[in-house]
Amino acid sequence: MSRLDDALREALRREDPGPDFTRAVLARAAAARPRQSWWRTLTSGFRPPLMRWAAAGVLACALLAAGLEYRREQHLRAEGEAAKQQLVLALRIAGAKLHVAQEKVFERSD
Amino acid sequence: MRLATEMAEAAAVEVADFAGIVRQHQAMVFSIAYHFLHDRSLAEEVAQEVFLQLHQRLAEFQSMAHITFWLRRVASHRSIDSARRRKLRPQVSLEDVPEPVTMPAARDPMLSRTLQRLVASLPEKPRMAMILRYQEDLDPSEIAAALDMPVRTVKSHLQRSLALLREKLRRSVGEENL
Repeated sequence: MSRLDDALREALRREDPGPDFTRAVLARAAAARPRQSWWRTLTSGFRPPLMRWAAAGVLACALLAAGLEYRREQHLRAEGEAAKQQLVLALRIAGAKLHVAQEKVFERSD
Repeated sequence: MRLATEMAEAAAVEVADFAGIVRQHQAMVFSIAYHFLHDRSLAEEVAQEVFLQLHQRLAEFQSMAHITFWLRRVASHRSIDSARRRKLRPQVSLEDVPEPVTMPAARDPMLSRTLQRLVASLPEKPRMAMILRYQEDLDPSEIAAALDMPVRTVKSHLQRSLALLREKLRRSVGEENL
């Protein structure tokens, strides 16, 4: 280590610009909002906290839609079952009346 | 309401962190610019710009070591850019610097001023390499990383610059004193 090295270290030692500098930097930083890149702006809606809320919302909507669809299907099935019962009853009545009519026809022909 | 409170608290923490970073590193950043540009107001402007750029990108940093490396690197490049943009030539040429008339003491203000002017008269890249070597105490590989140049080039810049400064000083103070 030469004296020139020491002298250079002394000549080029750090110099603090002082508290006014700190204040000026902080004031300018406060005045200028952090500038976001276009990519960060574009993806800002997908960052973790919002992403979780969005996923929960989508899941809730999917569950609600599935529930409504299941209920609609059950309702249609019940209506179909009722219609089937009515048809069977109507056929039985019609069958009984046909039987009565057939007996009367046979009585007259005898 | 709770979210707003949390956001305000986070912003306050960020401001406090940034203020701490500025206080901790302002001497380094300012001195790199000042020793390079040899102009206090211009150096302050460059240093402020460096910190504002840091503020915009603060979320990208994972550690204080990364911040220090980044600040040193950006301060170096911004200083060089500033000198080029304003077409600042070395304010003094090497031959115009008066030679010291007395033997240098360990802490000699006159010698320090002379050396500062001699360093300021060096070409851009060697000048920044000398500043990073003697102000920041970086080794050639660290200087190479900061300035994006091969280690061999850094060593060459340092050797030539030292030889130049030594030659200038030797004329008056004698080789044995340096």
